[in-house]
Formats: sequence, structure tokens, C-alpha cells
Amino acid sequence: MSIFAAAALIKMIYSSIIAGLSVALVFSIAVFGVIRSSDMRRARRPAASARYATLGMLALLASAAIAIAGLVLVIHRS
Amino acid sequence: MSSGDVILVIVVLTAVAFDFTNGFHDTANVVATSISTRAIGPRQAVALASLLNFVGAFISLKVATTIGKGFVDTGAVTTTVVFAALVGAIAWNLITWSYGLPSSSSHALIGGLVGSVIAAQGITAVNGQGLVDKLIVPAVVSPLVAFVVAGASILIIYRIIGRLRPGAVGRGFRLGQIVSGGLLALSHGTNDAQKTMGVITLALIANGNIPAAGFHVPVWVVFVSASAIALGTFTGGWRIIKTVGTRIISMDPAQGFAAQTAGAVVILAASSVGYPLSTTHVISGGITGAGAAKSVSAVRWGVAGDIVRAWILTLPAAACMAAIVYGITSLFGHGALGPVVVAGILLLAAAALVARRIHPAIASPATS
Repeated sequence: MSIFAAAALIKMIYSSIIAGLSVALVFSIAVFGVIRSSDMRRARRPAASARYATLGMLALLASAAIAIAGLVLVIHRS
Repeated sequence: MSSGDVILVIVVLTAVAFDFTNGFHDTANVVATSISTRAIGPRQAVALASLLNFVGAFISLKVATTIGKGFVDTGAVTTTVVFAALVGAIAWNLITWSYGLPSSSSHALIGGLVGSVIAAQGITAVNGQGLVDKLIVPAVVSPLVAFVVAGASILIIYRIIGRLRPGAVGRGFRLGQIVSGGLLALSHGTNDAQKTMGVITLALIANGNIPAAGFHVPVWVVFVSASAIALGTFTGGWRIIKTVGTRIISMDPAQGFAAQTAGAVVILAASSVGYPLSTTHVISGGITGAGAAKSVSAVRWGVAGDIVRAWILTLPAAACMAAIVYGITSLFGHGALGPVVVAGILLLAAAALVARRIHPAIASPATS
């Protein structure tokens, strides 16, 4: 395998790993935040509920941002 | 209209038919996990996948360039060679479809191209280094990357949401799956539709419509390829959906999300560097990774083994079929008669196969 071909393959591998794990991590935090916010609201702890809701929303926005950034990168490189 | 133009028209129609069967065959890869976890209904999943396949086809042209210039000597390609490659690939797709095996349409196409070029010009017209660098190594590595990404993702996900209410977690990840499934459909359109674009462009170069030195994909080729794959996806392949979605592993929504996300990121990353990957390989790697990370025994390794055997067979089988098709076509000379006859036979064979699959009782009467 040539150096050029190996470089493209390595780029594909690390891009996939970084993007895939980032989306999984951030979206899990979003689900965690939303569910814990709901639990806290039921437990009548509004301040904690608001904190978890904020965490969930930020993580959700970050998930969307990663997905959009990934697509923009693919379009830009092509 | 010259004999070359007639063959070109047949090639374009055959390429569109291949693109349709590609979408039809690969619908399972895109929608199976969303359907099996009930994230979205089958009809909605197929409609969404179809739309996003269409959009995805417009994102990139790097894979089309690899198909057009990366594997065979462009000067050795004639319209008849491209025709034989397509017929070989379609025949293999139909055979694996009839047995419910999700083999790779992409590898069938490239195998077909290599087989017909060898039959026409000999082995020296094949770019062996290109095949290794841009097809075989990525074909082996990409499902493994999807396996690792999906496996690591599901471990991260379970670590974070492990103690939460399962019902609420399931609802959250079902919503996530609509987006991850959409990304997978988009990435599928990006990678797979380009293979047809590459082949049609090769035929246009062979017929002298585009100069070989200035390889570019015409806009109408992009539009036709996008439409064909979207229509094929919409028509769907229910038998293969069953194999990929439920026979490899029973999944929860978090696993489905991890598998789809892993598949989408690997295919998009590959498209950006011009690798013509098999979406079948990648998503199956993702599904197996998501399952194995939770429980190695949950994966039905026997079914996964059947799929791997179909993958290994695809390149040589499609190459042999394309070489045979080229030989048969050549019996009728170098004009348009050969492709016309073979296209007619292919149409009849495909109609018979589809009729047998749809009405098995008519084709093989009950013995009791």
C-alpha cells in the first residue's frame, strides 16, 4: 500500500472514530439530561430539574452541531 | 444513431436498472435497525430513506471518480465492457437477493467491471494497486471500524444511561434513531449512487461523449443516478430487511442508534476520501459491534458467517459472470446486437425470478 493510500485510510479511520464516539457521548448526555430533568420535576426539585434540562438541551444542540459539521466537512472536501 | 450510440443507450438503461436494484437490495442496510427497534414504521422509514438517498447523491463525486479512473485502464473500456460489467453485477445481486443474503452491490459492480475488462483486454488493463488500495483494504477495514465504533459507543451509552428508566431511555434513543437512520440513508446515497455515476461516465468516455483526459460527471448523470437509487430504495427489499434487522441480533434502541451512527460516520468518512465502500459490510459490522459489546452470545454468529461468505464470493462471482456475459455478447460481433440480445435475456430472467419470489406457489407447486 502506498503512503498516500495509507494516509487516506488512516484519515478515514480516525475521522470515523472521533465522530462516532462524540455523537454517542453527547447524545447520551442529552438523553440523560432530559430524563433526569423529568425525574427531578416529579420529585419537586425545580432548580435541579432546570439544571438537567439545560444540560440536556446543550448536549442535544452539540449533537446536532457535530452532525452538521460532519456533513459540511464531507461536502467541503468533495 | 450509430451502433455505439445504441449500445450507450442500453448501457445507461442497464446502469439505471443496476442503480435501482442497488437501492432495492440495500434498503435493508438503511432502515432495518430503525424498523426492528420500532423507532419508525416501515413505510415511513423507507420513504425517509428514499428521500435522503436522493439528496445524498448530490453531496460528493469523489467515489464516482474512483470508479471511473481507479480500477481499470480507461482506454481499455468500451461500452460493451461496461454493459457486461453491469449485467454481471445485476445477475449476482438478483441471485443473492433471491437467497436473502445481503451481499455487496458495490463489490458486485467493481467485480463485474474487472471481470469484463479482463475478458476484453486481459489482466494488464486492471489496476491491481488501485484495487488493493481503494477497494480491498477499505473493504476489510471499514466493517471493523464500524464494529469498534458501534461497540465502544454502546459501552459509553450504557455507562451514561445505565441507571435511568428503561422506557424513557428507549423513547430517547428511538428519537435519536430517526436522525441516525436519516444520516445513514444520506451517507448511503452519497456512496452508492456515485458508483452508477462513475460507470455511466466511463461509458460516455468510451463512446467519445466526454474526453478521457477531462473526467467529469455530467449533471444529468447525477440526477438520473440519484432518482434511480431513491426509487429502488422506496420499492424496498423486505426479505433482506428481515435478515439484517432481526436475524443477526435483537436490538434495543440504544444499540440501533450506535449501529446506525457508526455506519453513517464510516460511510461519510470513506466518501470524503473517495472509497467505494459497501454499505452492507459497514452496517452489518456496526450491528454486530453493538450486539457483541452488550453480549457476545446475543449475536447470531452463524447468520453473520453466511453474510461474510456471500461477501467473499461477490467479487470473483460477479467478475466471472461479467466475463461470461462479455463472451456471449462478443459472439454477436462488436455491434449493438449482442447487448440487445443479452439485455432481452436479462429482462426475461429477472421477470421470472421476481415472479417466482412473489408467487412461489405458482413456480413450485405444492407436493402434498
